[in-house]
Amino acid sequence: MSATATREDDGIERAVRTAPRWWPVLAPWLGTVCRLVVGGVFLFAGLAKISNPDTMSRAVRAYRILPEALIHPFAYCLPFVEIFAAVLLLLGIGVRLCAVLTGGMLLMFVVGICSVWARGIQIDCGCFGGGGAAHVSGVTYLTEIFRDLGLFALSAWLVWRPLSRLALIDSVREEY
Amino acid sequence: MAGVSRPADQQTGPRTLPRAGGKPGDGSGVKPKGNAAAKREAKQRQRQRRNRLITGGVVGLLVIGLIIVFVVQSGRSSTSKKAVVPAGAATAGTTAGGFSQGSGPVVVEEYGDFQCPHCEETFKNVGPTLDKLVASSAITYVFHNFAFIGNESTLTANAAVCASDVSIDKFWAMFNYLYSHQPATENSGFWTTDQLLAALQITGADTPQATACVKNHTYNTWVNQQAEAASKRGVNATPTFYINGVQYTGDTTSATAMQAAISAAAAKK
Repeated sequence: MSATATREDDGIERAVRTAPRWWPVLAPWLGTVCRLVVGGVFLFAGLAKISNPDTMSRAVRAYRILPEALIHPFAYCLPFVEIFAAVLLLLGIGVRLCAVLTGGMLLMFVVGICSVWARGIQIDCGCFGGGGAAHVSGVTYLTEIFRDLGLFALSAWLVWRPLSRLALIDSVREEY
Repeated sequence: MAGVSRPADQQTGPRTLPRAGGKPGDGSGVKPKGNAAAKREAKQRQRQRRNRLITGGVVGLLVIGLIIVFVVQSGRSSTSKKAVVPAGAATAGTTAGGFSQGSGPVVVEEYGDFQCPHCEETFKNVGPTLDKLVASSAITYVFHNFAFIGNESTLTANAAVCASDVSIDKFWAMFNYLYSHQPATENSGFWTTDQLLAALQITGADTPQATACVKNHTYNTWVNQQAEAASKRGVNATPTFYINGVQYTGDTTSATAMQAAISAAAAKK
């Protein structure tokens, strides 16, 4: 029987047979939680960053990674990408693509923070709209890295399983 | 699309045959099964087309949005605006935009924010030493506004620069007033226009011109451009000191450490 089943049947039937009964119910809700958490954080962070283009430019420059010519384009555009991906994630439209965007940005943030830490530069990460200037001593790089990795894991889940509950388009109902 | 679907069709052909052969008597069962597969495939193809449409729409919106946002943000940035430049500030060299005091050979530059608590600490602990060195013509002290903590940072910096239009002494009077009246928390709503006008009055800088300057935020754009310039120089914290152009890496709140660094710089010259 399994040999004659189509490829599509095979995947779904095997998943239904082997997974615990609560799994197909829980998994889509996990996706919803991921969308709300990642979308919520990125919406908040993006709005905080887009409000002041000067502050954002200084924050990007403080990392001392990008050349001067790219500072402004990056600083002006990044918050928009964050807000864009966040809104679509919250609505449940193009979830896989948006999760790729947030996951990519999070990896970039982790690399940036690690690079700054390794070079011994003390800055505010500017994650939520700071100007890159650290007026308070005490480096919080490690917590920032773990926070970003956590959000990356949630994004990765959404890349793997983009369909979830309470989604406008990428709803799970079509799959089951 | 067509290239993908054709092999799938060929695959379903031989696959359904053994199934039909397995149950030779049940000929009628084959037809609905084949129909269901075709329907499923059509549905899948439709879903794929729809997904591609959504992805294309999302990417298109993103690109259009990026262009619009770049233009809007460029317009909002202080770097694109024309600033009113205060006459009291230095105009050339690394000290450009700074307000200086004294004429000693060692140039001590400070980047500060009137809201920054560490700057206030430096003002209390190191300030008297710097004043003494300025008075004995050992150093030239230059203060750069690096207003980055928030709205009240820009407001206070603007007010001090407004006072510099009256005279450079009034700038330092405001400088002293702002640091010695720093509230416990940043952006608490303490530094209002009225509060700053009162400060102008107390320091005796309340000329009609300076009062209008505080009310109109005349130097806000210039102050923000100064922060941009500081960031380009590599300043990412306050207070940041440069001694003869070299960034000071010691304790900024220790008078002895600062004194030692200045003496070392003087000996080098």
